[in-house]
Amino acid sequence: MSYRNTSLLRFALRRMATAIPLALGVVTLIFILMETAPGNPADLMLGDNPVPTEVRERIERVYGFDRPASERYVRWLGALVLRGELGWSHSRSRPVAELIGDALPPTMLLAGAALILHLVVGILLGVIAAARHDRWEDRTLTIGSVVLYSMPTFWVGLMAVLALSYFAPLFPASSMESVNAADWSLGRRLLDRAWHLILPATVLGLASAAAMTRFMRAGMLEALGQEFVRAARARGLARRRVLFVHALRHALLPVINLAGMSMPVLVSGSLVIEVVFAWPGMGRLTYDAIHAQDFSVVLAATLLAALTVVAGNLGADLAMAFADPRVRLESGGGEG
Amino acid sequence: MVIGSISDVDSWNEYLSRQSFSGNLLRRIFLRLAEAQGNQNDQPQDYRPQLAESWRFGDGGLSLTFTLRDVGWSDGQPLTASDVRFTWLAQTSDDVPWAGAEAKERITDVEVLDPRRVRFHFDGRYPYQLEDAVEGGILPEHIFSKIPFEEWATHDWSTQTVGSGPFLLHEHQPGHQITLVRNPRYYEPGRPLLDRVVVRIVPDIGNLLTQVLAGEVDYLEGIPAHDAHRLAARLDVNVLTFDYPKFDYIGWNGSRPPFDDPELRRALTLAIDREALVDDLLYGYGRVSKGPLLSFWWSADSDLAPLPYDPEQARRILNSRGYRTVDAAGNAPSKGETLSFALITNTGNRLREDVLVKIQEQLSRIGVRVEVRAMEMRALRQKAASGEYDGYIGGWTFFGKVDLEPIFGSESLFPAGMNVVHYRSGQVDELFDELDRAQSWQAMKPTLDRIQQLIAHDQPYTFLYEPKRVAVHGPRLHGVEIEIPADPLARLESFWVN
Repeated sequence: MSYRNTSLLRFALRRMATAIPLALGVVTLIFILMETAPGNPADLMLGDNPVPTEVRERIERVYGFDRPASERYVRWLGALVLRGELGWSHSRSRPVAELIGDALPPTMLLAGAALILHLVVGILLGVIAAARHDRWEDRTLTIGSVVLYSMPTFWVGLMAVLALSYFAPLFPASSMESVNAADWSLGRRLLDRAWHLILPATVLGLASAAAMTRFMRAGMLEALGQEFVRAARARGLARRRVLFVHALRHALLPVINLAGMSMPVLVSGSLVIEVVFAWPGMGRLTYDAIHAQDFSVVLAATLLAALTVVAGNLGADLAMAFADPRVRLESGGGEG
Repeated sequence: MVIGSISDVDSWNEYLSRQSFSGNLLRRIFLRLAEAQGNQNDQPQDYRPQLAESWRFGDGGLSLTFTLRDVGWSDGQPLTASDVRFTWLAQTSDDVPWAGAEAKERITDVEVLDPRRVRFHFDGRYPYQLEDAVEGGILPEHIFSKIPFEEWATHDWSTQTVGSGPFLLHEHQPGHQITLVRNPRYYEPGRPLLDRVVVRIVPDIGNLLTQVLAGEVDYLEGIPAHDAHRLAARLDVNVLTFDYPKFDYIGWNGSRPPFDDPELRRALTLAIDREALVDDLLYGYGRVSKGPLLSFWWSADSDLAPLPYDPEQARRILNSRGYRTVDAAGNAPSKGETLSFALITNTGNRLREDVLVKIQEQLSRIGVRVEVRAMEMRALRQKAASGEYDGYIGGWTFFGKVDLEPIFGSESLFPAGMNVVHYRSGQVDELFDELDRAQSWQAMKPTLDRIQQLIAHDQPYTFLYEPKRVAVHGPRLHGVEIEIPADPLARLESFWVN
């Protein structure tokens, strides 16, 4: 193993070791925040229905809401560390691991598709805008991306539903698959899933692609002004080669970091899009759990998100080290 | 048939579930001994046979014997009196956190006489014996007894597919879809008419409405009034409105001056134009509330009229209490200090937030200054419980029999009960005791009327409005009949699609 590879491995191991206290800290903080929020889960369970105090007390006792917060936290953490259990969801009456197992794949599918769209469209349009700097294409893309970026995602989602599901019924208004999909062949089911994915993934992907377009445009303009690009042009290289090989490679380096930072959305989900399109993912699961004070679900979702943040940053740092020979990974982490 | 719902099922065990929608689906899977029929407009809830083919009181009204139909569970096992007794044991177990457990408080034993006859014993005669006995779906002992009661709350019941009703649970994908299928062993011939019922869970009501209009969803209820108003003009959907056991109110903090003065509370009610709230914010889908019992129930006092909108009388009362008021033109002919207070409600309920602002505007017309604030539900509940408020807008929804004592009894002050407005009336307390001793609903009625009159006079609440429930269904769905307001899907077995 070369010195560089050994150094990378050491760096990765160190970074992974820091993930444990970080995740623990985040989870503890979330638990404290939930505990300090007013109210009691039993109140939320009972809603506006008047019930006798004994019934309320029975609910609190059976679900353990009457136990001290510290005891509940230690029990949850103990079950996680000793038995690998994520606890029980009192609001959905299911094991948390099962709920996350159901919600995670749809979120990864939606966020993954949106992330690809975000990167491909954002980079491509950013390059075009930079290449056609100050011409009508650049101005159109600039106005378009600023307008799209400024619009609230939920509104874009609702308008997309109205336009493409109601007035021109090309795509389903919501959900992940058709009502009878369970009876269909695998191939038809996959096509159906893709059909349901188009609208939410496009809305989510394009909203973030607008920001990426602006980011790429700025990066490309900076790269195009660099000496190594001017030198490449002076050597008589084709314009397309200069643009897509020399300038783009340089402008892409920060994108690696951005992509790494986008990783958590793959597991935490986009709440707004999941609500508007009734996508049964992690965003909705966590949001509903927060409202129901279902701390087992919230803590598990937070733990997953915290670990993904660490993994995403680590992946981005390693990718940067591979992509840019100038980057050195130091023991404290990050690039140097 | 596709039903749209904004909420998911919280548990497939009726005795752990607390959502009305979950209960509505579970009632299609686990039948009761007798099922409610009709509304409660003219008399208490009436019942028709369901799992029991007949029943009879004995021992001077202290026992009630049910004779069961010769029916079975969907897995072919016979449904027997032993299932009924097992269900009662579950309902009354300290380890089963059933929110409706109060219904079984006065049942002392459930005795199996033979496989088809079961006898309920009571600690005394009272008007709701039949209602209490038949409350709750009968569970299959051969399935549910495999899990000890102390493990019920942490058991996943979604894999349990046995039932006695017209439909059975086929699949539940949390947050996405529920599929119910026809029970081929359902006792009523030719029912249900539908082979499959799919529930699409979509958290956004606007999206669901779009799906109804696009023909993707056949039935949806809980439509907000402003959408109902808009849909009513359309020919491609059918809009159904029905009374719902719910009212919204302003709770005044009776432990804090000046709201401890019944006359002042009365003045504030007189200054609120509740007809305008119903017309402008509920678009007519509701009625002004006049007292603690819903005005369309048999138990409501028909002679009790809602307090009128009378700002002039409100001004006189406030002036007599030393408060400065303004006349209709905004002038301030009277002296004294301005009555000002804070009115709060929960966020996420658009209607209540709008009502808050409207009331602020109405009270300003007589010179009362109101600071309005919407806060998260948990924060609101905590403020109400701790008595750190002047007034709050809340609501009560009633399923099953109604007991006003936990809300207005002097011994029900929080945390012992839900009397967070600190209402105390010796007369009302005595009448509550009288109600406990009544043996028939005819005997209860005069006492109930008197309680309503006293509470309406004291105005611990400003009773605002009783919103109607609105459902909408698409053109391909037929046979939709909403017989029981609290259980709109009660006749689901008679729905059909073409």
